[in-house]
Amino acid sequence: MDPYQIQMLREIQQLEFVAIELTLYLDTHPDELEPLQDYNRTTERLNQLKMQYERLYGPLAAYGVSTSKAPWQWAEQPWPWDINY
Amino acid sequence: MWIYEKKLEYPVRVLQPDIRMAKYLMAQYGGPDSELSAAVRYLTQRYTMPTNRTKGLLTDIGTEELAHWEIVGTMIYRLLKGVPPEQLRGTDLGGYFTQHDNAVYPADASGVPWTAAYIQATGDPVTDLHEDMAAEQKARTTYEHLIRLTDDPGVKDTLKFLREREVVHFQRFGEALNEVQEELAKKKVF
Amino acid sequence: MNTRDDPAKKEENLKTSAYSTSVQLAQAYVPWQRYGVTYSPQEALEKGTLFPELYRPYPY
Ligand SMILES: [Fe+2]
Repeated sequence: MDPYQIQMLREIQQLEFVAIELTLYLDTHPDELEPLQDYNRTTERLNQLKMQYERLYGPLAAYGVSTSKAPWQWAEQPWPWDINY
Repeated sequence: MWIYEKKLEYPVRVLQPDIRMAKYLMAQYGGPDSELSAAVRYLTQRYTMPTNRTKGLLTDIGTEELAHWEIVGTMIYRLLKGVPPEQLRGTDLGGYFTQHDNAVYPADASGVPWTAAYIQATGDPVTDLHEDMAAEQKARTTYEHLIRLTDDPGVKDTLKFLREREVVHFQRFGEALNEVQEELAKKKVF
Repeated sequence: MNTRDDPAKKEENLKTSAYSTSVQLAQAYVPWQRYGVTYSPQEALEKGTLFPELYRPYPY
């Protein structure tokens, strides 16, 4: 795996982690506006980054989330437990 | 339904194979207070929660626990990768290898297979949330024991991330408990 | 916004926390978290939380 891919993956992990934390916070504080705005902003950035990543390295998810070039790319890139960080 | 994302929640770095640490880590993979127990516990209890918020929280934390289960499984896999059977002779993992080779099987650190007896779903939301809060504390404690059992900086780093998640989950379950108790008190009045 | 160092805000935090609503014997409560300063995405992932007030590092 090239260093740029690892770095992009790391950025996705960072943004997605913020989204996870804000999801759990909003689950118990659903009426608060500030965390909600932060959640929406983070989600938009995250989706952009994932699209960029997928264009370069193939789908992060199957089941209708991401499209694939031919041939079917889902299994091509290394699986998470095989990646050397 | 669930959708799998082809990435870990947190990166796993492992310096070198370590048979003993792999065995200790089984505690959080297939033990009583493991990530597997956490995921199955929350995803089971959510059906009978009285408020939509609590159903949502149990779904979301349960889902994150599955991601943690994958992280722990990855650490075990990496710590055992390429270790030949000769090296497992006479070690703590000789018996494990006999039954599972290098596969990542959900058993605890002493080889006891995972069982649903580790979890409860009583249908009482206050009782279930107390179990969840206790489970988060037990998992935090187990991670502290594990952190003290390794010198591998990569393994320590990932364990510290997982330990901190238990602190955050405890807070969220506590807030859910506040809400559920308030909800139940309202019902008693009217 | 950092509300944790402001005594007036601190007071308000306490009033609106679980302790001011119907506190009963033989019932457990956790203080409600208030939204304040958050870590950057990079720091959040490193620390395992987005929230400084929930960060409890383990010294070993
Ligand atoms: Fe947890």
